[in-house]
Amino acid sequence: MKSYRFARRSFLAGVGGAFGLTTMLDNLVAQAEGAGSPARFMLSHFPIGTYRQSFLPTGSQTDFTLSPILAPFQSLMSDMIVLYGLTDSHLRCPGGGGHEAGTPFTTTCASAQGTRANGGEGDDGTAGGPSFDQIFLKNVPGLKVGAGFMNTLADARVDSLETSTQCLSYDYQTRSIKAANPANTNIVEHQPLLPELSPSKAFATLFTGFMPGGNTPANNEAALKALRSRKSVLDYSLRELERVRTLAPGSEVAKIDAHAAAVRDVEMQLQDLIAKGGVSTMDCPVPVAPDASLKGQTGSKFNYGNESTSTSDEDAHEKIGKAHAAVLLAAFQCDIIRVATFQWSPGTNHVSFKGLYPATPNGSFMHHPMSHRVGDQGFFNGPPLTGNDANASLYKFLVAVNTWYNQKMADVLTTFKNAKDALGNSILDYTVIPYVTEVGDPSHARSPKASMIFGGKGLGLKGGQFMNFQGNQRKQVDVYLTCAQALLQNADPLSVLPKDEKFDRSGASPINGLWAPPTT
Amino acid sequence: MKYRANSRATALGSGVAIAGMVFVQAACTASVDANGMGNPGTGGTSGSMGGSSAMGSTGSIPGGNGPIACDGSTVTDSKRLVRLSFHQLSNTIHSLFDATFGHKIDADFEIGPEAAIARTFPPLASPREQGIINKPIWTTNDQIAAAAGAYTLANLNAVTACGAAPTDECAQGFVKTFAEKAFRRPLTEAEVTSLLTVYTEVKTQYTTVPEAIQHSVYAIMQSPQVLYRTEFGADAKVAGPLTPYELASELSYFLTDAPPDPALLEAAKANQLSTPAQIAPHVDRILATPTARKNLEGAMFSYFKLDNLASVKIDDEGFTNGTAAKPYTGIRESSYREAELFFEKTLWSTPLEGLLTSKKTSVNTTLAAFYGITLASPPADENTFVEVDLPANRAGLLTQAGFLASNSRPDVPSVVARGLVINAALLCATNPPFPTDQATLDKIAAAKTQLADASERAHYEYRTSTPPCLGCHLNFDAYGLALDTYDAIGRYRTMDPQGRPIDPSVKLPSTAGGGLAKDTVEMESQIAATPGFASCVAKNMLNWALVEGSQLTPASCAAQKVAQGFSAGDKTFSTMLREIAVSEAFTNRNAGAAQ
Repeated sequence: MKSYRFARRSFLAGVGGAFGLTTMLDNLVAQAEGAGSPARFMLSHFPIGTYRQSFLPTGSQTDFTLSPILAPFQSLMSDMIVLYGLTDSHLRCPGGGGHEAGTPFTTTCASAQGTRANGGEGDDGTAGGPSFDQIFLKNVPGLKVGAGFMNTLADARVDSLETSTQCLSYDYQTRSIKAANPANTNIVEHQPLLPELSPSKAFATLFTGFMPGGNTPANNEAALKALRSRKSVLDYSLRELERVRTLAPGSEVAKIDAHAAAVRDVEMQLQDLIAKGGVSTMDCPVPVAPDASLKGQTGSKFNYGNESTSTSDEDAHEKIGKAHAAVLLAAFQCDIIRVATFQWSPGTNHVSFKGLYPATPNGSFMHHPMSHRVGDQGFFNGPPLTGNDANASLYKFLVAVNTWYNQKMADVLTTFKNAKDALGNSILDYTVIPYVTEVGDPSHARSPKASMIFGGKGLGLKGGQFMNFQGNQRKQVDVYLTCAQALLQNADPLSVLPKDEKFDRSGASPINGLWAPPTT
Repeated sequence: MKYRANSRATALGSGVAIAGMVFVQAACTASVDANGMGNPGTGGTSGSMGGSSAMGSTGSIPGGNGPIACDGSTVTDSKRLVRLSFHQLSNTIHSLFDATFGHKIDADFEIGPEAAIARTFPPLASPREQGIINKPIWTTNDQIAAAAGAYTLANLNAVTACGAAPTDECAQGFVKTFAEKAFRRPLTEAEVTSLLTVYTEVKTQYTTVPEAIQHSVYAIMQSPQVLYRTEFGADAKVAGPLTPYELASELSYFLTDAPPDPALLEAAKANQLSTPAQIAPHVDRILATPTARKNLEGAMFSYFKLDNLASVKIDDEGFTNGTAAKPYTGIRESSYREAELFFEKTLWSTPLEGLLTSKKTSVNTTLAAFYGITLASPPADENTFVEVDLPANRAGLLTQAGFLASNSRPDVPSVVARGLVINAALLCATNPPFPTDQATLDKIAAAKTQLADASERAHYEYRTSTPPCLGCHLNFDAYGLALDTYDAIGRYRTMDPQGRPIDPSVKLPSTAGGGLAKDTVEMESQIAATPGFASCVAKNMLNWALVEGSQLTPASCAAQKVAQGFSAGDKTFSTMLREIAVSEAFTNRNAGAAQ
């Protein structure tokens, strides 16, 4: 059993940081006599599926060799579960596009009513239920602390105004919207919780008010004044929302409630902190604020025919993604949040990469437009192509991009592995990180899909395993139910998760052999 | 088999395709989206603005020769709460603070006029926007509001005019005045009390007035009264008109994307915004302002998705013809500016059909050479544009280099893509999705091989005569074929790259009148004369005005009513906007549901 230490710091409380840290203090006091670190969950994503024969490891379930695409994870093998042959084929979203319906399918595991009328292509899939980050936030005891959660995205350029591909996280709150499909109808969607594109803004949201300094009376008094004044503002906001609510028609109540919920979340935590009479906290490595110029790009590109770019994006893309990851890591270490989503790019990915297309070695090409140069599933899942002709170059480009993302994700995960929380445990060991994708491959196949689960060793996840369900497909939801075993410390999470949760339960179950109660 | 399956792009509508040769799905039912289901309502009187229990005419509108059949009701939306877009919030901040702070917020949060988010059609269509304020959007709003409070504290006298050491009396007076301006209407007594509670509570904490002012401003800027517009009318549960102050805000954000000016607020205060006759002069007054014109020109710019021009890939090397010259050099920027100037001049000085038929445009020396226009007095530099008459082979927006390049592949034009854009953007037809079944994809691949060296007309004839392709392509390919006399960067040509003469004559689809057109200029004239064109623009601009977009179609009674007023008038863009602003769809709402 590790002991823990209280190296106190004081800070002026703003949003997030202060109350998260105080909560951590309480929780750690409770856990100190024998429990491990608190559980955390980070839903992560890579775009546009994978390429079967360059992806699949060789060997047995527990004794396997990583494929070229997975090779970047070599040093993380014991923290990694590789899964293939997952499916979302049973889910429905009328009119939903491959990536557009696939993204909410992959994170909610629920069918949806249709697509948004947003002026774009009409295939922007909605969410038929909350995503699993929100499901866990609600249902896993202790997972909700401080600011609750943070969603991040390193690049938001999409095809045609779609929201779906740039959002992993969906709320319990629903709303009625105009649908593109079914045409001329209104449908109900679970509201997208759009990610933050700017690491510096994510940092500001999570760490505003952190002020390293002594736990002096003056600091505490200043912090309390700030807390109380801010609470006064939020109380006002809630009063005025209630005033609007009494005047509004029934159709707008959900809109007002969503707004009020966002305010109340922070307001209640302020109240809690004020009631405790102080803002002391544990030591944690508050990071330097990220460069404000780092920010994911936005835009609606819809240029399938325009694959090349004059400049490439991969360097900036890596920096932005890693800056987001650093903020999330620090927020985990400081226990400001225990739930996050981390997305590199939309499935309709317009990040361009230089030097990965052998037929034009100095050219820069965008991921998603290139992925639709060929539409044949056999092309993506067949044997790796050799040579430098157009088809072989295309295959190599797509595999190289897939590998690029894995390399950068491995870098991120390695920092998580090496970082310690306040108990001295590896952040990765107590963080469950599913790494999922919205399609099986660029043909938009809903199966077979790949997923990985990283971390969670301290919570009982058994890394170092590979399972291929290609001939006997498992639903994507089974990945989350396996994560749920670790988060809930329960072999049968379906008995804990409420029956009215909207994810598809039919035939769903955790994957055997990937989790066991941890031994202390 | 390896093949290029589906290169796609979009215009307004769905499923636009761009490829060397592209087909869309068989057995489609591409047609004008005439099945709009406006809120049915149960009665009401067309043209009235009273508060009956259900609003608008249903299923028909009065016409000169008796009722005109249409879909739904002339009142489309129910009582509701409308979130300000981020750009509208930016303009609101600019109206409340000085330019320094306004520009800082624009830059820090990317919500200003230069942000991509500012030009989406309709206003909340951007993925970064939503009709609701959930946690991520609230976080941004909260940060902006906190920044406003901090700026006020740091610039206390400049913002409040209460001096460096303000008294309670002056401070509270400022807070009330500031809130009234921010709310765009007078405050109720209860609202004043609620706001001063913040002031008092914070002053109790700090014992000083400046912090109380700071947090009061912070509170105001994140209040629902600032972040939304209400469309409740006198009673949200009863159908009827918006209140005068609600209408003032709706009208101002529609026309200028900014809060109402003093004249509108005065009119609201005097209850002088209740009839079309009272509203119309304000429309005309506001439309004469540069702010409104710039906003609406921007709306049309995004309507035609010309923003794409900034990023569209042009294979300049492919147009060199073996020479060192790069014919596209300077054209991208020049044609972008040309389109801006075209809207600036055409929208306000000619009938709406001028968008398609105008023989005027503005060019710099680069663009003049590109179009083959000799300038009598060449402008001094590339930033100077002069208005010129177009040559016989060009007219209106569709033959501009910017529109043509932004709807082409990098190296070749696309008959299908151009056709789909016109089908959706000018006639509001629903474009079919690209086929996804393997059998059709295989047929496309086989046809591509079979027609590898054929002319675009041969491709067109194949697609419009061969099942299953003809089911869809008959509805839009003709538009793109007429435009084939312009290459991918918009240069006029009479021969294709293989040296074959290009015949741009086409028989137009029935949605465009079904007539024969010998070339693009004739085609544009015929489309402009089609009632469907005016109905389509009316429908889209009404959607813009209603922000979140109802299920309107050109056949919707609400759109038809606007189109009817437009046609009875001088048929200018201004008239269309005025018809929208005085329409029941704009001024009235159906009853909201009980809670």
